[in-house]
Amino acid sequence: MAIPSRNPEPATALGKALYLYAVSRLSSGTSASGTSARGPSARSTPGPLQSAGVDGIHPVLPVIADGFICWVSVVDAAAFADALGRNLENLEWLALHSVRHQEVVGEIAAATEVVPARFGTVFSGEAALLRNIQERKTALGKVFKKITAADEWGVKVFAERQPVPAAMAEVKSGSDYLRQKAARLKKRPERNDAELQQLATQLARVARASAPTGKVSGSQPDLLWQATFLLPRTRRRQWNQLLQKFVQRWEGARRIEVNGPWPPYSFVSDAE
Amino acid sequence: MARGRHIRLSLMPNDFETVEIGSASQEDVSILDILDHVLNAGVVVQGSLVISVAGVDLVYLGLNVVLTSVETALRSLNAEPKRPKR
Repeated sequence: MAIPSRNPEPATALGKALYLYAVSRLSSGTSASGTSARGPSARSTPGPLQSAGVDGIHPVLPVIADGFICWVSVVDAAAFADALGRNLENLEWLALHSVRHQEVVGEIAAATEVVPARFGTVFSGEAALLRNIQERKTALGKVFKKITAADEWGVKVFAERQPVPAAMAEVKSGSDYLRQKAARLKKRPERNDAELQQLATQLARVARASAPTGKVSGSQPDLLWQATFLLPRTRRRQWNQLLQKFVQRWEGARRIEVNGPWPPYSFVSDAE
Repeated sequence: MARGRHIRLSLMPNDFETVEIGSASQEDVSILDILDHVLNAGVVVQGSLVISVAGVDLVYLGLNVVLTSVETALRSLNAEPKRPKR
């Protein structure tokens, strides 16, 4: 079924496709009278973003669909559809375009609640996009409920490298060497020990949801544990106090790194 | 954080910055973290990618090969001589 569009057609032409970044909700204050969804002057209607699209060229524009705003840009179909699989295997390509994708989704998320699309979600044109949104309307609504007023945060725990004491560094005999080696081995921190479990449990209690962190950064040296959380914004203080407690407890032995706030990338799979 | 802030594009795992707990003013987000979060939007979890081209609405592509290639690339980066830490 064709969904009549209230928007000016993005310039999809032969060889072009529409890249979807995220879906936000059309707020009640937003004008749907809609001759244009892009009027930069009208405050209530969303305009194009500052960030350039994933190709670094085309602007990111809002397309209104069924009470939602789809944030899209025109992309070259050759690179983003036909050769996408091959490009995704190219780490340099993947890195550059993931960063651009994040910049766009981040800019939208800074202003409103968003359900990020998967990286590399491309539609043949506006009709296909609108049809897809129509089909996922109910699922999208549920996901918005889940992620409302919350951000995604990554938490990592690293083992601190223990400097070898100067007095011990001098090896005079074989037994010196063995003693030092034993001392170093003893200090090697356990993964999944009771204290890490405690941190995980307590963070999960403060957060609304948790998910495993992706595998990409898993090979960082000295990484002991990592996880991703969906944290309600009202619990930031509680969250920080909890982390601070562990920072103090582990001082000199373990280091905690927190990254965020991210758009809720890891908590929107239900929107499929 | 990465919302509209400058992001240093680097693939070197040694470029990680320690973020102060509770600080929301993180200037540098590592590319690895970006990949982890951006690609976690269904892709890694599901092992597939939805695209819609040429009027065909949904095409599923296996992505295991992507992850493998990222992991291999990272291993080779890790194996390179380490630069001095900050």
